[in-house]
Amino acid sequence: MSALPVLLLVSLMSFAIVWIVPGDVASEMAGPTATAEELAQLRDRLGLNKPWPDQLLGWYSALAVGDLGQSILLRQGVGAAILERLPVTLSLTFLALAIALVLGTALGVLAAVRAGQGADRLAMGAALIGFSLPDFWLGLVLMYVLAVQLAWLPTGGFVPFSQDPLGWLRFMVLPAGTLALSQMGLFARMTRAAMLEVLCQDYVRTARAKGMPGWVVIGKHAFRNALIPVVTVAGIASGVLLGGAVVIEQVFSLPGVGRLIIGAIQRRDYPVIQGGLLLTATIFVLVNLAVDLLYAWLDPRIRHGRG
Amino acid sequence: MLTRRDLGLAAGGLVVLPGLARPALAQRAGGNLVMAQQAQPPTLDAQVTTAQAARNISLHLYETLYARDEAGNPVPDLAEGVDISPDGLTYRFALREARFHNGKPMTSADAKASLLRYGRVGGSAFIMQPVDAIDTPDARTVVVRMKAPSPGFIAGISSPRAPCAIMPEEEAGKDANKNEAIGTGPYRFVEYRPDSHVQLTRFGDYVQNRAYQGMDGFAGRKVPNVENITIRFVAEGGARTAGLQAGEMHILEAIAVPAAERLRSDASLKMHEMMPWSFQTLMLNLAQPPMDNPAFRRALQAALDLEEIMAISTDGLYRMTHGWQHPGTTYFAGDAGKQMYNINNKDRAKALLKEANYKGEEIVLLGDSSFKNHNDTIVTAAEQLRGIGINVRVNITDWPTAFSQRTQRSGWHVWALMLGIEPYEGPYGVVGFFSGHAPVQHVRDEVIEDCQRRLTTGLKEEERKQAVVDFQKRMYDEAIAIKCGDVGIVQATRAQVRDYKPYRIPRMWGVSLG
Amino acid sequence: MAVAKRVPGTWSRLLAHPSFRLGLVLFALVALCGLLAAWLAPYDPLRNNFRARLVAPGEAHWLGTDRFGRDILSRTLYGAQVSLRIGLAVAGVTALVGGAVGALAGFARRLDGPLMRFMDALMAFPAVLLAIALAAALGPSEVNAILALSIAYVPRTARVMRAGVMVVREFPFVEGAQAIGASSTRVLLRHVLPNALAPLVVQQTYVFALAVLAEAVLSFLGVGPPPPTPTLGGIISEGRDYIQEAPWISIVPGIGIALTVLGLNLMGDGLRDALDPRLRDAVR
Repeated sequence: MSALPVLLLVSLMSFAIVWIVPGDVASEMAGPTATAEELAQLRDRLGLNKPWPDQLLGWYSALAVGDLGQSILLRQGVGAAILERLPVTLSLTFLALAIALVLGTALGVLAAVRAGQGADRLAMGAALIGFSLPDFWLGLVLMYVLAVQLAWLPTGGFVPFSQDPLGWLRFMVLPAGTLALSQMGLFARMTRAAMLEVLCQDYVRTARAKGMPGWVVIGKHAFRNALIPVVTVAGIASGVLLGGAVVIEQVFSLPGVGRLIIGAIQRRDYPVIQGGLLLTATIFVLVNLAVDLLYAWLDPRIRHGRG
Repeated sequence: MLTRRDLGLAAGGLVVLPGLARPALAQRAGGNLVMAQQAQPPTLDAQVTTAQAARNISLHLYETLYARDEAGNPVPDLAEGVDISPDGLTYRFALREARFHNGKPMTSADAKASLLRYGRVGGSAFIMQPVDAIDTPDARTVVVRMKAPSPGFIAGISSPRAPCAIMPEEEAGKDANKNEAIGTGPYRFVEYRPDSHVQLTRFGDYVQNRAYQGMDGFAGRKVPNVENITIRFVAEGGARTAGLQAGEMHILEAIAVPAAERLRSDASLKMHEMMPWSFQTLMLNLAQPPMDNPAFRRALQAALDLEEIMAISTDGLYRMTHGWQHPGTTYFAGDAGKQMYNINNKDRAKALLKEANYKGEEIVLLGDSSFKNHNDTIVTAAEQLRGIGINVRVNITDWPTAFSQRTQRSGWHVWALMLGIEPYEGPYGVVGFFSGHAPVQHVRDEVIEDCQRRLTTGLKEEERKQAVVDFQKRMYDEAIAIKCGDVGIVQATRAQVRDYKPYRIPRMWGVSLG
Repeated sequence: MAVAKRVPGTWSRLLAHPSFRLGLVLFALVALCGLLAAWLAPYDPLRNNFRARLVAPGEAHWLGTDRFGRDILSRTLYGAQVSLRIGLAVAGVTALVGGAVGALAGFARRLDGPLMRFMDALMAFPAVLLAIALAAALGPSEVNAILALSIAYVPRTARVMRAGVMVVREFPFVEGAQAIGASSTRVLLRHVLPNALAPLVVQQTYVFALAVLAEAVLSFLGVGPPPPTPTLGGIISEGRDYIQEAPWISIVPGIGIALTVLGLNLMGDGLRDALDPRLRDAVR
C-alpha cells in the first residue's frame, strides 16, 4: 500500500464524516434543557457557524504544520488528548493480542494436527464461542462473575504501567481477556488453515517421509511457515482489536482512544472526531507497514530478494 | 412593598430546619471517597452549562450569593443577606467572609465581576437582563440596580441550574470554558482526566458559613470531612452497580430501579429514593400540521395512557401528578387542568380525531436513545397512538441529533423531554420554556406570554401564583404540551458513608467514611 | 469449461464436509426462526404491557418479558429476522460493490491504483469505528445501518476479489481466450469472474457473520436500527442494564447471535475447504 495517497484520502474522509453528522457540540455543552435561544448564543461564541470551505481550509493548513486542532470540550489539543489515551488503548490491544495469539495459535495448531477429529472440533468450537458473542455482553457477564461474585478483579478503571505495573495488570486482565476471547477464534482459525496448507506441502511430506518425528516437523517446518499468514492476520487483527477496544473501553471505563472518539461522536466534539479518526487510521497504516517488514523477515523467499 | 417574605426567603438565613442541624465537629475526618456518575461534564465552567454531570462537581467547588435550601427555597450562601428597596429596583447584598482556593479573600469586586460574566456566558443569562448596573460601595457590599422590578432575580441567581458561581475577578474576565476552576467551595479542584475521573480535595482554608448550624440544601454550613473525592465517569449502568457492589465506589448518582430493589436488603448498601426528581413531558410542535389544530392535540391528550408511559419509562418509580410545579411548593397550581390529565379514553380520542378531520398524515415522534426515559416514553406513546389509528413514525436518534431537530419548525411533531432542574427551581424556567422568542412549541401563545410577563414582573406573590395557575390551565386547555408524570430516582451509597442525605446532587460535604 | 465441471462436485463435496453440515444446520435453525417469526411468535413483538414488566420465564411468556412487558420469545424471533436481513443485505451489497471494484482493479491495471488506494483508505479505519461514525452521521435506521456496515466492510471483499481475479487472470485458459481475440469484457465476465467467485463466496459468509455482530455493537452504542425494532443485538443491548435482575432478556438472543455467527463461520470454513482442492486433501 502506498501510504501517502491513502493518508490523504483518509484525512479527507475524516473531515467529511463530521460534515454529514447532524447536531453540534453546543447542545452538549449547554445541557439537555437549554432553550433554542441559549443554544444560538453559545454556538456563536464557539465559532460553530463557519461555512465548510473555511473549515476545510483550516483543517489542512493546520495539518500541514502537524496540528490536529483543539478539542472544544476537553480544553486540550486533539493531538495531546490522543497521545494521553494512546497508552491505555495500546496496552489493552497488545495484551489482548498477546493472549489471543498464544491461546489462538495453540488451539489452531492442535486443531490442525488433529484435523477432522474430535479434538479439532472441540478446539475450534471453543475458539469460536468467544468470537460469536457480542463483546460488550461478554464483558459485562465476565465483570459480574469475576469482579462482583468472586471479587478477584476490579470492575473497571486504569492505572498506568509506569506507575504501578502490578496494578496495571490487575486492571487490564479483565478487559484484555474479554477482548482476546472475542479475537482468539480468528487466530485459531487462521493458524489451523495455514498449518493445514503447510502440512501438505512437499517439503513437509518429505521431512515426514524421511522419518522425522511428527512434532519436530510441526514445530520446525510447519509452524514457522504457518506463522507468515498469522503475522498478516495479526496486522489486520490489530485493526479489529482497535475497533473492539472501542466497546471494551466503554464497558470497563478505560480512558482510551476508542472511548475518546466515541465520546466525541456522541457529543459532537468535531475536532476530536476528525483528529481521532485520522490518527487511528494512520497508526493502522503504519502497523501494516511494520507487518510487511516482519513478513519479509519471516518469509525467506521475500527476504532473499523476491518481492 | 416587596419584602423578603414575598420572595420566599428565609430572613437572613438564620432559620435552620431542626432535623438538619448536626454537630459539625464530631465527624471523623479523612478518607478517600469515590462517587460514580454516567456522564462526564461538558465543561468545568460552572456558569455555562445546565448539565447535571457538571453540577455534581461544580457545586463542590463553587458557591453562589444565594443558594437553594433543602426545600428548594433561596437562602443566603456567600451573602449574609439582601436588602431589597421597596420599589424592587435595588438589591443590596452584604457578603460573608469567604476565601478562594487561590488563597485570596472574596471581595465585592469578585462578586460583581462574576455576576457580569454570568450575564455574558451564563447558562441562564436571562436572569441578568433586567440588571442596570452593579456597584461595590465597599469590599463587603454589592449593590445591584434593576431597570425594572424583577421578583425572580433571587430565585435566578440562587438556582443550581447553571449556577451563578462566584469566582475571582481575574477568572471572571475570561471567556466561557476558559477560566480556571477556582471558587470558594469546601472542595478544591485537583485534576480532570476526561473519560476517567475528576479529583477534588478538601479545601483546608474553607470558610464555613457560621450563620447555619448544619448543611441545608446547597447552602448551610458545609463541613468537608472527607479528604479526597474522586468522581468517576462510568458509562455503563451495569458497571456502576458492579462497582458499588464490589466496594470500589461509595456513592452512585443514580442506580437503576430494579437493581435498587434487588439490593435494598443488602446490609452493606443503602438506597436513597428521591421523589419527585423531575418530570416527564411530551413537547408538541404547534407549527407542524395537523398539530396546529387544537382538536388534534386534544385527541393526543385524550388518547395517551400516561400511567403506562410512566411505569415503563421510570422502571416503576413514578408518581401520577398533573402539576407543572411540584405539589407542596410555593407555586403549585392546585387542580388547574387536572380533569384533562391522563384521560386515557380511546373513544373520546377517536371522536376528537374525526373532529380534527385527521386524514392519516404522518406524525413524527422524536426521541433520543441517550436518555432512557426519553426513549421509553416515545416508544410507549407511539404504540398507544398507533392504537387509535394515528399514522406514527418513531424517530429515535442520539441526543445531539434529536436536539438539533427539535429546534427546527418542521420534521417532528412530538418530542420527549424530562425536565428536572427547572421545576425544582420554581416556575420561571418552566413557564420560560413555552414563552419568549423561541418557545419549545414553536408558536407563541399570547396567553402564556401574558402569564410569563405577570410572573416575571408581578410584585405580589399572589399575582405571580395566579400567573402560574393561568399558565397551567392554558397548557391543559389548549394541549400545548403533555405532562406525563413525576419521575423518581434512587441514589445509592455504601453503608460506610455516614450522614448522607440525598439531594439534587450527591453532596459530599457533611458526610464521612466509617 | 472449468466452472461447469466444478459446480456439481462442489455441492456434494460441501454436504459431505462435516463442519459445513453443522454450520448449515445451526444457521438454518436461526434462519427458519426468523422466516417463520410471524407464525411462531406468540405475541406482537412491539406490544407493551406495563403490568407484566420484567416477568421471569414461565407459562405466559416462555422466555420472559423485557422492561416494556414485551414478550422476549416473540422479539427474539423477529429479531432474528431483522438481524439476518441486515447481515444478508450487507453481504449482498459488499459482494456487488466490492466484487465489482475488486474485479475491475484486478483486471484493468490502470484502475488498480486509484481504486485500491480508495479501498485502502477505507480499510485504514477500524471497521467498527468507521461503521459507528457513519451510522451516527447518517442517523439510526435499518437502511443506514446496512449502508454504514457495507461501507466499512467493502474493502475486505474488494481485496479478496482482486486477489482472486489476479490469480485467475494468469491461468492458461484466460490467456488463451485473450489470444484468440475475445474482448476484455467478455474475458472478464465469461472466464475470470466465475473462477474468482469461490474466494468471494467464502469471504461473504464471514462478512455476513461480522455484520450480525457489528449490528449488536451499533445497537449497544445507540446508533443501530432504532427502537422499537427488534434485532438480536438490540435486544441484548437493551437487556444489559438488567443482567443481574432479568438475565433472560439477553441470554436467548445471545444464543441466537452465537448460533448465527458460528454457523456462518463453519459454513465458510467448509466452503473454503471444499473449494480449495489442496486443503480438501489435507482434511481427509
